[in-house]
Amino acid sequence: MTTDADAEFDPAAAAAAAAELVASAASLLAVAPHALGGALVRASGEEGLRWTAALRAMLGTEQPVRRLPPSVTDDRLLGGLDLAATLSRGKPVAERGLLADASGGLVVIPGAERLSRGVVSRLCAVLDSGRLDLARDGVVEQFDARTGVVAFDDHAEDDDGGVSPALTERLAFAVVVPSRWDAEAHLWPDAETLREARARFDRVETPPDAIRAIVATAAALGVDALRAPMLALRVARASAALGLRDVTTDDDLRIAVQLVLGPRATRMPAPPPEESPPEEPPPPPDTPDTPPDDVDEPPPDEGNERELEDRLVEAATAAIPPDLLALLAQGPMRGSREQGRSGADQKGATRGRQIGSRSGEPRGGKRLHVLDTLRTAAPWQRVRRRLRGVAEPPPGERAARIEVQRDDFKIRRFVEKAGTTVIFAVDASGSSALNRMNEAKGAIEQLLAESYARRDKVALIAFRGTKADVLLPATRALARARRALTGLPGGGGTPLASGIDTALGLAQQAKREGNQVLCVFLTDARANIGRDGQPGRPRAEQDAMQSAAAFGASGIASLFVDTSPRGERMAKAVAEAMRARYLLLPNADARVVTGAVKTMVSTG
Amino acid sequence: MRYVYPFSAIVGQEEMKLALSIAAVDPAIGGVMVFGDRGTGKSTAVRAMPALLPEMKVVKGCRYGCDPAARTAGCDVQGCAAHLDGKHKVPTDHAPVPVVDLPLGATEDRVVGSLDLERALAKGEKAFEPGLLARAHRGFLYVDEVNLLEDHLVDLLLDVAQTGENVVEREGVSVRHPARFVLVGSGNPEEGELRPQLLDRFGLSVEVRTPLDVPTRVDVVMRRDAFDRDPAGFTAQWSAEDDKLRRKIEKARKHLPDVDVPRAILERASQLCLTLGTDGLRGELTLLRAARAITALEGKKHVTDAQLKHVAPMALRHRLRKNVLDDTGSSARVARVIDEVFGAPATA
Repeated sequence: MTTDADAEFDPAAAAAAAAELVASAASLLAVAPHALGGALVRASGEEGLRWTAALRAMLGTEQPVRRLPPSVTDDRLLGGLDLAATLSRGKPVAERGLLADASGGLVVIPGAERLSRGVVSRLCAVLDSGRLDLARDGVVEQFDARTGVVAFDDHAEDDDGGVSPALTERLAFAVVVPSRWDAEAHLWPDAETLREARARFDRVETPPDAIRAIVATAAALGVDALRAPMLALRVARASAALGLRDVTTDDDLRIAVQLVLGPRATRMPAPPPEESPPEEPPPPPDTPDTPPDDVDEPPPDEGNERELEDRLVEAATAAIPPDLLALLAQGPMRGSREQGRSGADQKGATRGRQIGSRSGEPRGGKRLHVLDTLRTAAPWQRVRRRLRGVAEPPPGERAARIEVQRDDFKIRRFVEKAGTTVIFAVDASGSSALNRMNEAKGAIEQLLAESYARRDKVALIAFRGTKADVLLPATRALARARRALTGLPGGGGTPLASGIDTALGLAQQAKREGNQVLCVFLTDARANIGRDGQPGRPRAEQDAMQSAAAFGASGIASLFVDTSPRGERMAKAVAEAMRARYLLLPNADARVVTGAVKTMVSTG
Repeated sequence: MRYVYPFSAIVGQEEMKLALSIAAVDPAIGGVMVFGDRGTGKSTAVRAMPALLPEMKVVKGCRYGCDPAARTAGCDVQGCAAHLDGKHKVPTDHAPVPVVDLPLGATEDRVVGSLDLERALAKGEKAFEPGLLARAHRGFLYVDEVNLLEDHLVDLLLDVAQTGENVVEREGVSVRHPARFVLVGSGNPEEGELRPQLLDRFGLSVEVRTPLDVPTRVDVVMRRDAFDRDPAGFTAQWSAEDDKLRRKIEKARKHLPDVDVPRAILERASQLCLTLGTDGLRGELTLLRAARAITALEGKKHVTDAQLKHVAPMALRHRLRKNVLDDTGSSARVARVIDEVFGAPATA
């Protein structure tokens, strides 16, 4: 079937179909924002705005949209104590957070790749349960939070990372809005249809063989997560509801697998055992309720089910973006799409061990120290009552309320122990690359295994060929590190300057997040690729020395492991410029490296 | 009315369901940690537990829900401590066993309890307002994504779970109250691993995986779809199964004190722990407790090798020393040693 498709491949038609799918995702999401979870959107600023505007235009009056900045604090996100109302009424008043506020509708998150793990897990909890349990600062309350999420992934295409997989797994759609996408070019369901579809969504039925076909299609595409087929089914139901049907048809299933399973595929489906049915273009979701003759009411026997599954697999394959298709064609992916960088942990004055209180406003995530605040307010009660002209309570009785003023506010102070981030920059060029990589891997695993108790993280950069790559962003998860470390590449030139630059960038980022940083370089320092990726030893060495000097000026601690057999002049010079500790270790033994790292970390 | 996906309707995941049932039979098991892939029903299982738990007797009017039959540390509620000497008859009441979900972002004051804000603000009184730990007394406390919880909060939970008492000495209030609960944690190892010294404070640990065979997956999706479309009908359809399991647990609880552990089994348990090199006695004690609970669930009187083997992985796999050079998972190592100790292949 793929050969047929290739022969008839028409780029213009494919682009039109892709643009139509993007529009369909918006319509379907407008039917059931919470049940479908939402959408991960990749788009340039302009197209992203147009898509969101098209979506908003379809939402009903009971479907609010709230913008959620990625750096949102718990009191804005979840809600908390409304201090002003609390004090004026003399009893605790809970304030709704964004998630409860957007119940029934959507939160829109720009730059969702910057969400911290904590915020991601709160979003996931709401997506799973549809409600928000608040237990903060003296308030315990439960809110409805049947909220969907539109997460914009703004990170650069070739950059490592992205939106947390825990979140994207719960969002039905992953939408790439093509450039010059125009809402005007599409047919949109009218308000009446949408209202009817929303009412119908819950009772749309999915026949058992439809469920089987979806699950089998997910399996054929190598989609392991169980949430994917569940979301695909809900999308099929939303599609049926939009078509004002009570039972899903094959067309509904097709659009569901195209939108939900296609972008999640991790492998090319095996070619079907028999001849495949003829290719047909994906119809828009709101076609009238007249399925083609050959799919009309398939009896639930094995043959037809098989056929349905094949057609669904085909439809999903057609919807896989071309770049992903090329990747898949190279063989099964090793979960690399599952990866993602969770944002920096929140630090600072909002968590950790409490060390008393200080004056300040309870804003920006800072928490009120109630007792200290009342204590501060206490001595002024008489004075304030008199100033406000309030009568003193009769002797033996308490005043009806305590007079608290803004100046009294005390906020809690916290300390959080800073963790150490150890960044390994490994020269993966030439013949000894494999050995160096293996020893670095051993050292990383040992460090991670021993660092549970501390809040330590490890990152890995490999430089070879023309540039340096971050293979493992700073992590403390051993499982994740292991996965990233399998099958490391080796060979090629030595772009030492790029290696040092990349390490410095990562180190400075970790430092900004409040971590102690140590960089460990494993290389023989035989630089032969310049910063611009061009070969040539003199230029490469000059670039490397320049990068080393910049690194030295940053004051970041480093260990330079020279893996050359007898010690290179260049290695010593670079190490000196970096103000690194120099260690000649021809075999780069993992144990010795680990030992050296631990000594440097513990002595600061 | 908010419907909860029924426990019995969860497809597969037998080990997780067994571990939770064991904790329901013997809450002294010391907590359950559920590690596994996303979307495998970890939270669903825990949130479905209330339907499996028989009602409990409480001292009437006691805000901590104290047990009228208990002879140990009570609370400071007036009239509640009277039952402690066993001579006074106290009025009793029935209450459901609490299953408390620790909300993400909960602040410490709401977890341990603190000053009653309303009274402090309105009348300037210092009064203690119990927190989530008090609500979880005699029940379950569930922490999703326990690996993301702040360390000091996790330590606090484990301390209270172990001592069975919550002591609040802060903000000028000094209160102690009983807080015996089964701590259930869940997490995904890819989001950051749990500190080992924390992990082995959980009694049982189970690993859940996404089922990969298509028929099982079809079942999972079909049931979930049925629940989505008609939660009331679906729950009703499964309530008989849940009732059956609840009666089984109720019976096992009554039956538990009569379960006998033969000397040979004690020796086998020691041998298992020695061969695996688990630290301390906790592993051995938990192994025996779990074996007794499963024996009671099966309605049998004597623990045999079969029960010991059944619960050994969940009682021991998180107590092995991590060997960085050995990539074999802990489950595989436990299985290997079980075969060694009991003689492979399984004959019991």
